[in-house]
Amino acid sequence: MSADGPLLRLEAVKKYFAIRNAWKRQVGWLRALDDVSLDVARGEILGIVGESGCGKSTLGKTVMGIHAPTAGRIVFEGNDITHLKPYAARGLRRQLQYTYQDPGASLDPRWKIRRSLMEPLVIHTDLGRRERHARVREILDAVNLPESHLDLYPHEISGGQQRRVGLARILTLQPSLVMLDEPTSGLDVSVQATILNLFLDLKRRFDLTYVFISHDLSVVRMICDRVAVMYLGKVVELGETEAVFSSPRHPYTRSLLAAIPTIGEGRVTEDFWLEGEPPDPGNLPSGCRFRTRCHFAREACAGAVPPLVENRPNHADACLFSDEVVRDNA
Amino acid sequence: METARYLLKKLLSDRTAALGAFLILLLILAAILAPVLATHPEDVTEFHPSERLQGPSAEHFFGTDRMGSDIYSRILYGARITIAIALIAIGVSVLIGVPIGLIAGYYRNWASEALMRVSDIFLSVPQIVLAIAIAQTLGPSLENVILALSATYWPFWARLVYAETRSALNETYVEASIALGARPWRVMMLHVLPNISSSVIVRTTIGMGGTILTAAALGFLGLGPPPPTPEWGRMIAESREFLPEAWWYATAPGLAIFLVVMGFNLLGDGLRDILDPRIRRSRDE
Amino acid sequence: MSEARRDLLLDVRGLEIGFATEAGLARVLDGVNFRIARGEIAGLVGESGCGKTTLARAILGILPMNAARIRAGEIIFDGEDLLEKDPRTLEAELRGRRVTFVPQDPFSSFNPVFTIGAQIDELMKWKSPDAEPGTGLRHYGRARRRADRARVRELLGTVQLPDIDGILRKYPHEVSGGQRQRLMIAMALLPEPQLIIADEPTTALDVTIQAQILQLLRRLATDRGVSVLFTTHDLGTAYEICDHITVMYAGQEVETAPSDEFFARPRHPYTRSLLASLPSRDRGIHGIPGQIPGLVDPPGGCRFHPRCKNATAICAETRPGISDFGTGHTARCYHPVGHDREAAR
Repeated sequence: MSADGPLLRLEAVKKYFAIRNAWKRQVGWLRALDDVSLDVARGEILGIVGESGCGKSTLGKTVMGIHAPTAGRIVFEGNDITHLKPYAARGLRRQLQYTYQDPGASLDPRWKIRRSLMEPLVIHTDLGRRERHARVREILDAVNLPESHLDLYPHEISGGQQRRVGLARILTLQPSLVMLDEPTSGLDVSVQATILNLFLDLKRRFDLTYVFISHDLSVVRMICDRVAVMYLGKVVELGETEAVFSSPRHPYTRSLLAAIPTIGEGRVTEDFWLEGEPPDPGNLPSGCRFRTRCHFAREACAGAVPPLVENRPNHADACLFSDEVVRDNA
Repeated sequence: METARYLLKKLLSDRTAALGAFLILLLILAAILAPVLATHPEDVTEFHPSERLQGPSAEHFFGTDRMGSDIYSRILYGARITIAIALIAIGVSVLIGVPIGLIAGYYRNWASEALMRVSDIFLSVPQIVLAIAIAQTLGPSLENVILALSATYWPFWARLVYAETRSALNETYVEASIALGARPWRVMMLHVLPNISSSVIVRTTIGMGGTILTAAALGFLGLGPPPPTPEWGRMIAESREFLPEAWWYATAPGLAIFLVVMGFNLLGDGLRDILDPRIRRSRDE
Repeated sequence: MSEARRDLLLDVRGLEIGFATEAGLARVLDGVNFRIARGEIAGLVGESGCGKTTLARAILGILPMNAARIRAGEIIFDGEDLLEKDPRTLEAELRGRRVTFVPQDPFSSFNPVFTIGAQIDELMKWKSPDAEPGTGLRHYGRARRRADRARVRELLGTVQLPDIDGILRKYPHEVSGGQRQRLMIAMALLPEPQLIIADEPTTALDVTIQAQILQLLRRLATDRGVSVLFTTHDLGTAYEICDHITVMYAGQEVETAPSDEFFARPRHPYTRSLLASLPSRDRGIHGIPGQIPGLVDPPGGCRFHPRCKNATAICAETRPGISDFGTGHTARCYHPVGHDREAAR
């Protein structure tokens, strides 16, 4: 195990789902992840952004072993975990955890919070009842939940509290990498802010690394160190958050940023140029998948699929004309 | 305990379900207290030809049959037979069907497909025909009726549990538990089974009614336990030659079957409303 | 802006609505005032449970009758108090004609078993501008049908739907969320209403699609002079589209102002905290301590006082009256932010 290598590495990971017709005959492939390569460094927060259907949730679930990848390699702490089922690699997986978009639904409705919080310890450790209790209490304190909540059922607590429980549940295992899937969706802004602060606080406290999967770019900009922008199963831009946000090199990133409502800046109702909707993911255009909606598109874009290339130090994009995009930004 | 009291309260507040529960309680009491309640307990095995086919009276509440036995007493003892058949046959069906459905639903491979195709074959033959064939081949006896019923009813539970397991596996909390590293056995026993248990309970309750009906039908056709066992279906069959004059002869066991089957169906419907977590949650809010 | 405000289309005054719950009466709306001028997009902003959806539904007259009690207040629409009018008249003349609705979730607003074209046809039978109120089926003549169809086509073109014939033949699940929302907007515009009530219409959409829909709604409202009540939980979205903004908290309105004024000089501490909790790189993350109060037994006085930094004894006693800061900017607060300083100067 190399200490300085990336904590998690994805090498050309593909996840294809078969599209079947009414007679269960396969009629095509839905390429939810297509040749995704990423490194997650120890201690960083990597944001994965994109709109619905871009594959960001599939990415999380494939790393977790819930979906088996169609091709490629997933390496975690130097070990290949590509084809391991979650329970087959318990020791390793313990270090790698995932929080669900809807934490209320990820808790068994018939179990009290106490039992749900204990479950990971029962699965992964030989701790006795008393030690388990001590650990749960400690984590509960870290996520600022009162102990009285242990005896409630999931539907009896609020959305923000469910999120805290979801976090507490995986933190009992002392993971090194946590994948947060849409961790702020459905929360009111005032609650969202406290939850974000909690993430940062827990990261410091437990030495965590986060993969932060979100559609909310303003949140990502605020808390992520690096960001990967996905469009229809492909990473189209990858770099340090500030570089990507202040000087986007892919036209899609640029339109995504322009669409965020920002108080005090120009209004999208006056100036937004992206037209149309993403093409059917089962029937993608040739070459660059964004070309059908892109202002910069020309013949070359319909040819080969543009690869993700590091055109600037630590800032990669998958656009043949990214320099032109940057000139146009100015 | 808390949940049990909650369920009881909900059950009693639902009028039809309470009626169902009352009818079933009556059946159970009749079975347990048969020796006490019966006016002529000896008539289960003895007969008195001199008193045959008497109408209802203070001496014989439901009259007497062609052998002169007291129908009221025979019906009370018949409740024991009915309960025995229903409980054992359903118990065996559940014990076979639930694990098969659960395992086939959890693992999506050729073996689970094969199991489900077998249960499909069983389901494609009408239950009563299959039960008749089995009872006919093995000969009429209490054990064979139970065997025939179990063999024909388990696929219902296998199918139900299979479908419920498949949909439970799509629930986020089940997936979350798998992602945490829980073994299949743990997921099945602690997450899937408890969450599908309400449908199994409802199906079992309603299934009880169906089983009692089929058992009575087998008895009626002479494939049930041999005489002098006081089986309700056989009692109706015997009464046919004396209709319509001895109207009480068929009425009493017919009414008994009707009330018991209705009791189970009403209770099953009531339980469905109470146990369905979606309905339950919206009621609580 | 204040000129336009004088020509009021909708004036909600002191509206109180309670919901009977097992725990007691929930005061979902507690003396709410809210206005929309002709031709403006008025934003109703607040977090979950603030009552914005209930207010929108009360104006439409579609509150659940068994649970909701209207306890006081009036809803004056175009000079008439809707609460005084006969429900059947409202159904026939107002709802779906002069006031239409764009829901948050366009999917569940369509019937999944009919094609989109069939559903729009059905709508036009009853609610086209040519239809006599309350007649519907009986008088759907061929000439009117033809005129309606032409109108539908034109409007679907206006909301920038590609391949109109194709879409009319499709079932609701066959079109994307963005296209469904375009259809809902078109359907809301078909009866040529005076007011469109849009309840979180972009919450379920991706940002780029949201931007497109906001752009579309803005353009159509301006072109056709229709007023829009736009509810949202996101101040950023409100900034993008609204002319006038009202912030609600726990069943009461706390601040109202024209959009530019609102964002330039927010007065109410709750508005301030809400703005501060928006993610921003420069300011860091600031939540609002405490929880949104329950509505069965809410805090007395100003409902925000338990979470407010500026609260004093009086805040807990009586609800603050309306302070007017000029140019249509009002807030209900004893200690409005930034006001004392300006007054002193």
